[in-house]
Amino acid sequence: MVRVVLGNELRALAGGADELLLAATDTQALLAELRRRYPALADHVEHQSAIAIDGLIHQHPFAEPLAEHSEIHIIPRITAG
Amino acid sequence: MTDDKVYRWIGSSPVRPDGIDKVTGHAAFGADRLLPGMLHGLILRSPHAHARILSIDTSAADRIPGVLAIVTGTDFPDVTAAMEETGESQIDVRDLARNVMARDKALYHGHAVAAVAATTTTIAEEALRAIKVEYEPLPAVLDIESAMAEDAPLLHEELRTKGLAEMPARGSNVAAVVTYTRGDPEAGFAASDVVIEREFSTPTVHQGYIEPHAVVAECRPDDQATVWCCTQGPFVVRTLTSKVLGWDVSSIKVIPSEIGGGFGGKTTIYLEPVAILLARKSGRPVKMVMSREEVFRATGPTSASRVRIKLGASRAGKILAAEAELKYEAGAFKGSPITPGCMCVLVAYDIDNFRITGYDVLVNKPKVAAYRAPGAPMAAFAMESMVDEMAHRLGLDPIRFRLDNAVREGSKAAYGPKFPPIGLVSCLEQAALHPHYQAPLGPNQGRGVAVGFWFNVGMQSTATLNVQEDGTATVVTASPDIGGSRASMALMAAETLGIAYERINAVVGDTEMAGYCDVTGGSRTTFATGMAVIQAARDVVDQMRRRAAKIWGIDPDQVTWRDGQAIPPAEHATEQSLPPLDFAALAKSAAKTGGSFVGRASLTAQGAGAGFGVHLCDVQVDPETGKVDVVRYTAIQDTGKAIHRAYVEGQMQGGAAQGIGWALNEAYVYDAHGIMENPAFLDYRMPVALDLPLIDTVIVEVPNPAHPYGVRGVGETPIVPPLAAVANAVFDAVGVRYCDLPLNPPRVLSGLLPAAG
Repeated sequence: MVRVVLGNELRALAGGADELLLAATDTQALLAELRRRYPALADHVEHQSAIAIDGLIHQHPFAEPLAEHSEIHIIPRITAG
Repeated sequence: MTDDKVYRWIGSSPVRPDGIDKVTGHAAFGADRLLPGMLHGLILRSPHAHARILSIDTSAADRIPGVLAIVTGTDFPDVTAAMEETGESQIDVRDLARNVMARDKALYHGHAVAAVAATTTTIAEEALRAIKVEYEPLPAVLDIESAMAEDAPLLHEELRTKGLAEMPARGSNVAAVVTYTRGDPEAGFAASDVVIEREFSTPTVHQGYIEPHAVVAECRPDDQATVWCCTQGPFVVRTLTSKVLGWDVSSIKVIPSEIGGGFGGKTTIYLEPVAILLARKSGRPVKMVMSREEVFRATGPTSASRVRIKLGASRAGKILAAEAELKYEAGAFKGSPITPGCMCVLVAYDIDNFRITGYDVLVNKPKVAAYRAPGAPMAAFAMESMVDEMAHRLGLDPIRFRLDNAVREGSKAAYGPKFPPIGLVSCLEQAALHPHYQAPLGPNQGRGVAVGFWFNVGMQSTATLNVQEDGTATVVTASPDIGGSRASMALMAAETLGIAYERINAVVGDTEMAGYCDVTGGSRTTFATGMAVIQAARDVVDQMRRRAAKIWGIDPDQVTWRDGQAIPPAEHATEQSLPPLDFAALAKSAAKTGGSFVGRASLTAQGAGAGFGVHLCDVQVDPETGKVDVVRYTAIQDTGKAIHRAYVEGQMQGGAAQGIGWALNEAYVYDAHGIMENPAFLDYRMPVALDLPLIDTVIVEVPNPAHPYGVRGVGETPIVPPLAAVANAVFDAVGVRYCDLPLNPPRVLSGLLPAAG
């Protein structure tokens, strides 16, 4: 199970939870699982967010592999300057 | 930790491939494009900071001989969809379209309301004077306080604040509220021995690129447009222009010119859709070049800001709690860099308890655009000033205090995730050991330290590598070369292929010649486009290994690639039966062995490595005039692997110079009606070479594990520390903590007079 840590700005989209334990082996599966359980959060992730997997930021993740106990943070997408 | 791998080309500083063209004047910039029959386009701009546009009468202008086209907001499609994906991120296309050309309201002084194309600029100017616009002036909001006031005039009546628990019923000039919290800030402050709190402000400042925005557009009768322009990203110009015009992207070809600076300001569009519509209406090519005044009045500067910081620490020097409230001006449309500002404000320190709140505030000023590390310098000015003050209050060395609280690998970033390998501690240690930090100071001199951070980003890049029959190669990408990317691309290709740097020609392609690349920005090009170039070069190596195997009649897996040569397995090599085949030999025989070699790669780069920097600044303050001179400056930065060292140093020096200008002199000066009073470089004072000492650099190379050569990104971090480094040095010199920028002579003197009196 991977651990998805939610900042306070996203908790309302996940029923108030501050973290989620989800079964997913890559980010595509993770998004599908989020869509099944929390569609609004999945929309947010898909269109506005980057994902940090064990600290490494993936600006537009597609099917990035996840380890057994990966820690996932959903963060705003940083745009260019 | 540094990278001690030995490379043949990477880390060297060869002659830049664009150097001769630029010093001899051959390089073609945006305004250099000339086409037969070309018209000259000019924009009519609002004389009011906030006004309803009641009518626009172009009939008199239309009758002037030589005027071939006029466009106003009604010539553009009414874009109704708001947020759209543009590849990089979601943008509000409706806002973008209305920034390009006003519709029902002019929202800042200089907002475009009409455009003319004529056979000469003189006739175009006459036509602008003949256009009659009837305005209903409205009260303008020109600063954060008045924009956030309960009874403030609203720029967009329909705007509702995002980020609140419930969608508000009333309109507001606050587009969004963002918050980050961790732990229990109140308990942290209660446990602190020292608690300090201050509010800081920074004015609107511009990127100040030397080349104004320029475009030439041509439109065929079948609505196929070609656009030549100076931009940080031709594909982004194509995407945004197509959205504003409602055209297919394939209808627009964008050819990037050489670019005279961008720093984020050329990642969006202003003139391109207007020039296309004028060209379409007139049936002639149209050139539009902004004046410097237009650049200041109508293109994106960066946000003015107000940032309040409260900091609590133990007597032993551990930061126990922090509270930060950031308010950034967005200009006339939502979208200040408030989110990265909030993510960056506490990012350098390992703090268990904090609360960060940010406000995106609309004002009647030009819509802000990205500017090097968007949002981070203003946040760092406040935080690094407070960290300096806390160290002073605790009687601790400012670098030691920072080291004791610094984030390192495994620390949790304020925006959530744990840091992978980062170089902040290495940079601080290098700063403490640097001769600059130990050097004695003279009378009226002071020394400041500050830390800066930028995320760096990845995004999409594509590269093609074409091998010529003489063993040279051409690298094609669509990443405009702003900071030396052609040299960096050639170096990485040379290293990967194992051939000489001089044998590689790196070129910037247009939207039909090259594959998709996001903008040159976010310190992404050497990292992401470089990654694509490396993959394209590896593709060529793989093809050459297979070709050699075919020639030798052995399995491709038996062929290794070393120092630019295909090497047969040991048993064949020792028999002398199969001498190695080098890059040039394989290229020469390509026609007979299966065709030329073309390497390709397209990717979305992941794993951009965060960049930290530490700056040391010595100033001398004239107590009689308040003038501050920077007398010594050292920039230390974790760049990851430096591909072209001289360019990396140049980026660090350039960022520091811009940050020093922000600290000491630069500011938009507005009158009471929202009209900028200093829209020229004579009055908008940017530092020139004579104003600055040599900026010393120390490159720290903590490799980014996500990049084949360990690249992080360089260009943005170095603008972050200077604002506070200068202010902290001034405090050290005169004992006055200045919280408002710029530290120009009148402001510094006003702080000194009470102290003297």
